Amino acid sequence: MFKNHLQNTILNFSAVLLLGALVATPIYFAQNISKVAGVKSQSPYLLVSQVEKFPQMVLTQTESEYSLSFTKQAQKQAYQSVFILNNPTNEAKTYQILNASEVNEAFFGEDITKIQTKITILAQASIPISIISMNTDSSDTVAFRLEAN
Amino acid sequence: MIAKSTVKLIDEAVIPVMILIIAKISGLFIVNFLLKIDFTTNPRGFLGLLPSITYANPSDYIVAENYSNLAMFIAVAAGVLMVIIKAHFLHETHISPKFHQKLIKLNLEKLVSTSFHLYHQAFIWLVFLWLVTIFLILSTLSKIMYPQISAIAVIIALNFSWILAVDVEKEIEIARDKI
Repeated sequence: MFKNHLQNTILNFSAVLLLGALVATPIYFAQNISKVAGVKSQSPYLLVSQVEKFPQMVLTQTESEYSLSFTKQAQKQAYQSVFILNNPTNEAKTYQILNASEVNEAFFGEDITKIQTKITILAQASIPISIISMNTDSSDTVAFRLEAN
Repeated sequence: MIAKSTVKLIDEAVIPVMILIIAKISGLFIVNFLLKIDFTTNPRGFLGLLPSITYANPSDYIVAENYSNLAMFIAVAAGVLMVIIKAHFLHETHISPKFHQKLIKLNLEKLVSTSFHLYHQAFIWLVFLWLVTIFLILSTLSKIMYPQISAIAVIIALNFSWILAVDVEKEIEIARDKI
């Protein structure tokens, strides 16, 4: 008797849940089937500046364009880990540095013998961005733009 | 045993759910095709299983959303209208005898509905009508839907609810007279 009563209650409760799910389905569907790119997605990258660690280096930013001005101690000089690029998304992303000059470059990593301007970073992972100045002038500027695909 | 009413409501809800989903998808594709709106499909964008549509331009998204939601509302309003017509002209309890006779002659007696069938159907369609209307209002508040569409939806939903309420009232009167 009790078992029957319990079975009935469970069956009815399940039926009401099914009805609720059925009723909610089209509205949920209508709300989520179309999206506008960028509105519901997070920022493709997070760039942490470490410029303050380098004396006489000034950072200026216009949207995704970054410009670093500095006074060098040697003719050709590299500055390691000026920025830390983080992929905050839940999927691996490919990032590219588009340098304004071919002489002065910003690159991923810290190895000046293996300059990489395009890299794939796993979800939630980070990579340093370094700069190298090949110009012989005592002060210089490195300008670059970051793109995420 | 599951309550008879619950089973009937589930039974009556399946077709409106399919109609609303088809109306939304058709609305989106017709608008994209007619207005030549650029979009991309994300193969697993919806619940990680089904494809979703992504618009690069927010204004394109708003146009597509407006027309597809309007298509969905038209579909649900058509459903309620069908129930209203059935409730007024093909309701077993107050169908005109002449019309009933004609239907029998034409072998269309199946069109005559019982109160049990009709009111469960009406309840489901009305729930969807008001859910879609609330969805349109919320979309208007989020600055996605045009307010004119939501305003028209509210007026239609109120009127259709009123007409169905009149039928229920008539039914109650008939039941009272019988007593």
